[in-house]
Amino acid sequence: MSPALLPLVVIVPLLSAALLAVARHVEVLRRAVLLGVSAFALAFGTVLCFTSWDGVVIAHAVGLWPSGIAIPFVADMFSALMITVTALLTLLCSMFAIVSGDDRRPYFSALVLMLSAGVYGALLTGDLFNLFVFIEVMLLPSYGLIAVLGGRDRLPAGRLYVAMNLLTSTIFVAGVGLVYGTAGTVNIAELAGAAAESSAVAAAASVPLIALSVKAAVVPVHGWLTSTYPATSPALTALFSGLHTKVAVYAIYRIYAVVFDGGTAYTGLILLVLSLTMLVGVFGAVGQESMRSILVFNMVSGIGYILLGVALFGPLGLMAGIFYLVHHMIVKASLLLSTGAIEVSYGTDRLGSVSGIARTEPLIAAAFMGSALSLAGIPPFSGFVGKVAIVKAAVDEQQIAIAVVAVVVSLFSLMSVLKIWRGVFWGRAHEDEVHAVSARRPGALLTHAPRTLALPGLVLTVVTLGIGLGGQGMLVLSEQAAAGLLDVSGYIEAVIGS
Amino acid sequence: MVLPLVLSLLILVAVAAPVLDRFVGRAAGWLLAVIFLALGAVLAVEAPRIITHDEEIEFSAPWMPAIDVLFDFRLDGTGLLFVILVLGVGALIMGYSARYFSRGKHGDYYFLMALFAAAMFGLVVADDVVLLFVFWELTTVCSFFLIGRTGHSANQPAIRTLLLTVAGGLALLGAVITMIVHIGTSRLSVILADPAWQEDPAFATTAGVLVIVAAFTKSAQFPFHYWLPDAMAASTPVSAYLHAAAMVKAGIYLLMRFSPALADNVTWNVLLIGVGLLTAIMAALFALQRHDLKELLAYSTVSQLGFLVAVIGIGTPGALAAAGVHTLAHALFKATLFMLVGVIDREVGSRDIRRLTGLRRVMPITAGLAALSALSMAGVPPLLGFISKEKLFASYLEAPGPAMVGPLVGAVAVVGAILTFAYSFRIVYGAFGGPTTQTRLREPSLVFLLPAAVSSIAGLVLGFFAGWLDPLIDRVVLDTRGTPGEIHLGLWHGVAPELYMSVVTIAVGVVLFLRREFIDRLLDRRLFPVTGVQVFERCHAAAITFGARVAELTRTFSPARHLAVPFVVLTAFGMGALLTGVRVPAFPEPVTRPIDWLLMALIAGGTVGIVLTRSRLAGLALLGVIGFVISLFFFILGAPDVGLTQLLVEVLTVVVAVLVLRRLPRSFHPTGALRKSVAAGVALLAGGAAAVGTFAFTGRREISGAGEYFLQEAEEETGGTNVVNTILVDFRALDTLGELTVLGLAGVVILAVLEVNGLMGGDRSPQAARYIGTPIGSPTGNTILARTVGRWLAPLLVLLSLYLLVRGHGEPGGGFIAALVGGAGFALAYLSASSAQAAPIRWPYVGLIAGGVGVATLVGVLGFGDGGFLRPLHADIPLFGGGYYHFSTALLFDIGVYLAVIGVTVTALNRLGVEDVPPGREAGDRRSDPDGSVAAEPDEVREPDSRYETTESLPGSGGRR
Repeated sequence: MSPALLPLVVIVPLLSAALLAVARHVEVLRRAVLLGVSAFALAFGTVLCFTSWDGVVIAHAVGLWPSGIAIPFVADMFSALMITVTALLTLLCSMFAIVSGDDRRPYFSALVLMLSAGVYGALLTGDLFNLFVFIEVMLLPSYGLIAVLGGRDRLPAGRLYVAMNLLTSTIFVAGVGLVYGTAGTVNIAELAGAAAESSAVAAAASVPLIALSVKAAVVPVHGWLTSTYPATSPALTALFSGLHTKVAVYAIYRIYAVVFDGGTAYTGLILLVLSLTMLVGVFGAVGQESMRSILVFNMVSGIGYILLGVALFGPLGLMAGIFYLVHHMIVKASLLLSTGAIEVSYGTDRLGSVSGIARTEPLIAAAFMGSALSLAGIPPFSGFVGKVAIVKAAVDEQQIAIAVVAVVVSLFSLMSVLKIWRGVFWGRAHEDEVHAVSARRPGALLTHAPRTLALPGLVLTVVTLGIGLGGQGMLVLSEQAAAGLLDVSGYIEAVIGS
Repeated sequence: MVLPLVLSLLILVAVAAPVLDRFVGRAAGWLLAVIFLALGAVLAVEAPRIITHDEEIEFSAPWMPAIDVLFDFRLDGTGLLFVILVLGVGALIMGYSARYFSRGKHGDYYFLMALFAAAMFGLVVADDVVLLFVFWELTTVCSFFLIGRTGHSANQPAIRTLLLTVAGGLALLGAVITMIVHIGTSRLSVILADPAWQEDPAFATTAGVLVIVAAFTKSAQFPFHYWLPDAMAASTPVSAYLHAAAMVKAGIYLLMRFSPALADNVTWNVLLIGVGLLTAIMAALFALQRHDLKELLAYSTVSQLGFLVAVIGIGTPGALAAAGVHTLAHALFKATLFMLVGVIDREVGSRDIRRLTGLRRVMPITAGLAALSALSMAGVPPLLGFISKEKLFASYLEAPGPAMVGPLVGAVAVVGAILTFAYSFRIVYGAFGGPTTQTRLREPSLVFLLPAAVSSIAGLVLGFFAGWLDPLIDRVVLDTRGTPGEIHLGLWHGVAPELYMSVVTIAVGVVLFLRREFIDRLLDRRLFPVTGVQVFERCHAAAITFGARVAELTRTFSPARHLAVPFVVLTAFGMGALLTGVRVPAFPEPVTRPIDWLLMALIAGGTVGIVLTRSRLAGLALLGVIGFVISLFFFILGAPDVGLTQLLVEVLTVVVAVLVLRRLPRSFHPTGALRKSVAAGVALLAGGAAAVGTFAFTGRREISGAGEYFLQEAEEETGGTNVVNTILVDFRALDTLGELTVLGLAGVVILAVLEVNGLMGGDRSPQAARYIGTPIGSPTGNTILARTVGRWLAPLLVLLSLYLLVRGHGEPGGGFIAALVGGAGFALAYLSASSAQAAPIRWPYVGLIAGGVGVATLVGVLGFGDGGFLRPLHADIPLFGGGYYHFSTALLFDIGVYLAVIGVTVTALNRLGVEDVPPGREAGDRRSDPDGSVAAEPDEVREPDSRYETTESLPGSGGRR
């Protein structure tokens, strides 16, 4: 792919969103564009994966200004992989939203497209300030979406969400300012190794990293996420979980690898924080009584797991972390969509308020269970490969305590999803439930969740099974992505040389 | 090749099972049995090579080389022994299932059973530790679903079982990874042969203990034994196959497999012998307490597994031979007994020995087969169980350690065997002895009994012809101890210690049976203060309670509590950075001027004011003051564009904020002293950290390379002389595009949120009512001045903004500033209107926003003509009267910026400024349509005062849902 085409993946959703904002009353157009653009991004990401095979990095100086002046768009295997997965999730969540009726909310499609444009831009940019801008492009639509979708808590949740993210963005941009103040540039490639060389740059560059950790919901700054995510609609929770925190995680990986050169001075402290993140997340999940709260807390624990990769660094650690990142995005979205299908159809996500679903909705049950086992790292699903790789990386680095925590956490993850399985999928099928009023289509009697609602979750479960059984494929991609973070010379060369 | 072939066929069979079930119903069981046997026959062809020639069948293929995981299989004698169990007993159980279940759909059952067989097969032939772990977990998962599918009451046992066995599986994972990291390969046969096991005791013990924990959970050893009786909630064929013959033997297999590496490890010996015998005796006692035949058999299995674990712990060649024989013997008699209990359950409808009596008269064949198996279990000649028990006895006497250990272990084993004898007879007598009450019962069909008959009679035949097993057991010893076993199985070994032990066992066992009522009374009490299930449930509940507490810490929608945390984290980080010491260069030139202190004082004053005031409006005004001072800073520092932008943003912020503020109470909510002091503390710390950061990290270097470039090259490169503007629309146009998108989105978000949430009703605060009827309360009268000024000033401002837009590339101005000026014009026009409805701007503001973003993006796309996105195109347009006008598409880009910002301003004014239309009038009213088409109905000219009343009399807000 010609590097000059990289901005296309931002341009297309941006223009489409502008179009849909005006022509939003034409349902067919709205849906076709929403799905079509995500499919385009998926194809784009896939092509990019081929392009960046074997360590090829392509970069384009937007506006063709000299290097160091222009904002670079850079694609390597890591960003290509992330674009592919985020596009897949956007596509499936959009499908779900169309079936569940979310997309009839005003401006839904336009906002989702804008959001995805922000995500793709953030994944491609090689400039810290531009990263801030694209994160804002990603967040602004979310402010709207969270306040128009979901239950009665959506407004207080939305207020918290906006307040928290505004503060975090402020910290982030202030941090970028400090980086510019100390290093004289915000171009990531020009910053390569700067934090490893200068303690001032290190301190300054830590501020954006802290802000990104807040966005990624690392303990102790996780509470905003677990409080707000369950309050919105299932499709949106799935979309946010797949995109928002993961973009932050991506940025942490990138900045830590390039700017800090993977420094190990504070590994102990970082590992402690991540252990807490895993433990608080998983125990929080165990203590919840509704499907989505459980899954959202599990997400926090997953963030800890994913960031272990960058904390351990080294080829194995990074590969494991990136693999786990991809796995977690897919599985978490799958679980949220499967439980979301139940919530949308039966009107509740409280455990026990609806039960016996395994009998009435075998497709959803299969999708849920597959992904639940994957989340807990049970073979042959992808979670198992990720867990083995992470634990192996930890033991390799002599971090036995971390390995033990990671293993114990996976057991409690299983316990938390079994709580859902027992409360909702097993148990007696409430016969009268089937005659309950459909929550999705007010006024209509509920028969079953339509297959199209179960499908997105099921597709993702098949994907997690696929990258579990065929683990090698995704491992190779992760390995290449990790190699690009370990040896950043290709990245720097591509940016500075472009 | 044969190993992966058999494995994939088994998986294929599992997948096909539901289809088979659909066509032939429960008889699918027979088909599966035949397939299992056929696959067994395929392997049997290879068996002689393994047994007599000491070869192995091997297969290797890469699976996940990136993490050193291979698709390696290896079949040796030990593997073969377990394969016989898996496929042989599997075939019997499948055949049994065909009659056990009622007619109907059992597709999921056959799927899971066949999948389990595949997993079990994979487990015993895997030659890669990760692969072994995969199959290990797969058996656990199959077991979970097979238990859980039985019904509601089986759900919790299934979950308990799963969690416990998965926990054990995690121990195995720990062992696997320890071994891989330490030895550097995942190949099981290589790992086992590595000298590290002998040379590095710390590693050997760590890995060994982890293996033991895994095996103990799977094979139900104390203190994990309780899951097996719990799992009896599953249907009987499942219990027979998974929880008697196959799955619980996975732990035994694992221990045997690791014997070559660990048999000389003292921890290994002590743990296996100690826990094994403890489990054997304890479970046998429990078995004597039970009345439910299935539960009794479950405890019996636990007990027998204890014997096996203990004998593996002895670790001598003879001991491992005994383990091999007893594994086989146990599978035969226990599977039979389970199947027969299932038969009784089906025919009689009960499994309680207090209700069953005298069945020997009505079900003689069942009784005979059960007796045969029970005798085998009790260790009575001439059955295979007798031979294996003798081997066990002989091995226990060889226990390592001081001389007295052997006899001691032997004695304990005899006690266990006596108890085994007692409960074996208890089973047979309980069901088949005594008076016959249910005379109408009849023997079930022979087809139903056939599988049980096969395994039962096999126990008898192998008793007589035990020598047939010698080569296989020899091979097992070779695999597990590395030396040939020289095993000779047979009923008579001459007068040896184990013979005496058998005699004692049988003699005392008979006494116990005769005194059974006394024993029953003796044991009719709780032997332990708690049951395993209770302990599990308590831990489970404790975890949930703890988890709920953990979650409770952060469960609030109050932003203040969440916002404080990042501040604290940042401050802590700042302190840490200060403590560890950060080297910063000195300021290259003085950075402070006297006027700075004045401005700082103003900012500080404003901040203190905001903190102290309780009035929202005052707070807003003070914030505006700070904003103005900051823009002054910009002007003083020589950045007129930035200063102007800041200034205009402040103006518009105030306008928009006032539109919102009038809907809120006048004062902030009162807060407690504690919260105030905490907030003050956090604020001071965070502010301090920010100040220190700014002081330390800014202004301490020369102008950056990029800055230099902009100053030197901007005009040359872009044709613009206003550096700030060229950065915005040329060099970093992508940032600008993003920001104008963000701005536009803010407008769209306002529209979407208001449209859905209906927040705009009832905007007048009660205080406003005081002014009704006074001149202050009359909007028309009040706005005369503003209207008069606004009428000519507003268009002028808009014109001015267009001028600023066009000149922006060269002089202070540009899209943002221009639009803000224009926006100020619109704001003036809006504010000077007498009512919201009369506000004059009715533009399609969504179109403006979308158009802005669209124009800017499309202009960027034009750049592809010159190499890439957002590349500005230039043209020199000749002017009349000579000279050229330098045109750049950057100007068009700036128009996009302008449109988006104007769109947002108008959106905010229009949508935040109006009230929701009462619900009754919603139909046909298009005034709230964001496209801004002129209201369909004539403008309502109503007296404002009456409008207040209408609004206030509305029940709640119109659109709140």
